[in-house]
Amino acid sequence: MTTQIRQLPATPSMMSPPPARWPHLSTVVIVGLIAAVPLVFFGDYWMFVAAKILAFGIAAMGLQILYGRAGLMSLAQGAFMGVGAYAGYLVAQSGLGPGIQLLAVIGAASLVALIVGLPTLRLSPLRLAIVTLAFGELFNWLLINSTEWTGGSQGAPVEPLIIFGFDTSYPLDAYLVALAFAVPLTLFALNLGQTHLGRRMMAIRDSEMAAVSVGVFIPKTKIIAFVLSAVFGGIGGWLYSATTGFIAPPDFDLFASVFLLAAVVIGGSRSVAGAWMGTAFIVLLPEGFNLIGQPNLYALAGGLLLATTALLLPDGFSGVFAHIKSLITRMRAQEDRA
Amino acid sequence: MKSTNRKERWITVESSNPFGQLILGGLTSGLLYALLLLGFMVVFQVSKTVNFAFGQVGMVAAFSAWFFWSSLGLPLPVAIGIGAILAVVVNSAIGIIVITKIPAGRPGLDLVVTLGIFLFLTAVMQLLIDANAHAFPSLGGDKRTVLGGVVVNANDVAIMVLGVFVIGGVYVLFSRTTLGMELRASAENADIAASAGVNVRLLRLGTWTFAGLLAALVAVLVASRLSVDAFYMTPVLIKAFVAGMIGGMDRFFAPLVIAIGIGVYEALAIFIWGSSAGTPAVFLLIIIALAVMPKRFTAARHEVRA
Repeated sequence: MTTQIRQLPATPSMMSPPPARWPHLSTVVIVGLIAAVPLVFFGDYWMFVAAKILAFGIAAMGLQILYGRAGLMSLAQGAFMGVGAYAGYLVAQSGLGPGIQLLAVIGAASLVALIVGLPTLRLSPLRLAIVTLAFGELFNWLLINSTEWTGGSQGAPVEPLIIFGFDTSYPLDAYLVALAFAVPLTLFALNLGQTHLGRRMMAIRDSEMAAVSVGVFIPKTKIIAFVLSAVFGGIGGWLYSATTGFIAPPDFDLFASVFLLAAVVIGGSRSVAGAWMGTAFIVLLPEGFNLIGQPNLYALAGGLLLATTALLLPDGFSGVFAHIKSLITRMRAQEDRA
Repeated sequence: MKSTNRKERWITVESSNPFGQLILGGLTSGLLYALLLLGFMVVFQVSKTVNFAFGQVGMVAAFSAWFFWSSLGLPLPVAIGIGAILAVVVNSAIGIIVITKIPAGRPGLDLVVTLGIFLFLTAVMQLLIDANAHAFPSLGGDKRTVLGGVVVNANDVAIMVLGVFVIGGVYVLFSRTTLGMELRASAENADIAASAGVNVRLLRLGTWTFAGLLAALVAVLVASRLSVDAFYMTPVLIKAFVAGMIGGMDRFFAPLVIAIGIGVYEALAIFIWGSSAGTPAVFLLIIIALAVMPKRFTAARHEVRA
């Protein structure tokens, strides 16, 4: 028997958007300093790694919107990265520039998200995860079996993006181009929590019944979250392809999606900063083993480290920071009382 | 080296009843999915945790059995026995050391933790043995007879007999015995069950042991039909997992029937559209089925933690 809940009309306070709250200046300064580190200290290789972190981080932020805010699990974020990467690649093959490529990336990711999401977003989160898993597997199969378009399982070389003279075949330029997308998208994701849309997503995550009872139109909110997540994934994939200069189906398979989910969970699914920290961890982990001269050890210790980190930090890295922050606040309060 | 693509061979084998042959192949594949799912579900019932590494537990058994048999020259039953013991040890270790430590109310954490274990087990086996695919002994695949125009081999018969007995046995155990009632009670609320005198820790250890054995059994049978390497169980696990999610991990027969149905449908798709169509046909069906299925059939009674 289905439970009927009377949908109330939206209240006046819900009709008028709350004032946009942008991040504190201190946050902006810290983020700016972190973003400047590669520019000052890094050589070509680490700049390339930093550009990859930015590309994956954008995709992870998309998953954080869907999973951390709206409570919908997706195992296809890697596939949406692939949608963006291959859409950009196909448009570039026609000789069209980055502007058209970006539009194609956004359009393709949105369209695919609508096709997958519209009939299935009514499902429970785990069944939705299965649908997204199935979509990801289908997409990968399609990539492998359409050799004349995609290069098949052998992959395809990707032309670098050239935007205002910045050429992504150079690591520094690739980093700056990725940064130019990462900054506004991060600000958008940060501000989303302060908007009605973001609050509706969180209401759905916490209780669909309660959300319906206060006038939230659940299908519309879910589909917006799904499309937003896909667009972030598509842009991330497009930037990844421009940074690496080569794409192949394994870059966007189930494991890519699972690793993005791991990044979001390890970083802390409720925070945008968590998505970035988790992404940095996942991308830098193999590099760390390279650095100590034990690249083969990564395969062995990487999985163990992933499991251990997730067990020791169940709220993710951002949970640790939140804990430290609350400790400091409590200590200050105690000092004030004394 | 033996053929690594036996699946295609048994589908295209000469028989006077190709449709019956096809159904037999699909049924046996589906039963293997169902048996793996049964182990997955038993673990889930006890821990409410999705164990992404469950297929790799079976892989450890089959891959090590192949190594002991082919490289160390041990008799095959002994090699499989050692592999099964390894699977039990690994699965129990995952359950006791890792799964019980995952705190409740952290969505997705079980998936990430068991993903880490998945990667670890894969890397260990690649390091200890190698990263290549190897032909496994066919385990009765060459002993054939013809029934109603359908070529039936001993491997098929073993899978069907095992499937019926194991699934039936677990059902009877869970629904008709005191032990089953204690298992359900400890899965529902371990503290209350313990206060009523149930040895919850022992029951859980028994569950992990049984699931490990089941994973080993399925992995060895799958290897005997395909080949063995560090990743070969992943597609099997995904199909079993999908059947469990569609049918509901808290139900018994529905997900197992769906798993068998997936096997039959996959065989039909390969027969009609060719060998490369199996995977997309299955996943396309899953998307369509979940998209058009009435909500009352898709609503989870108890959502899993992930």
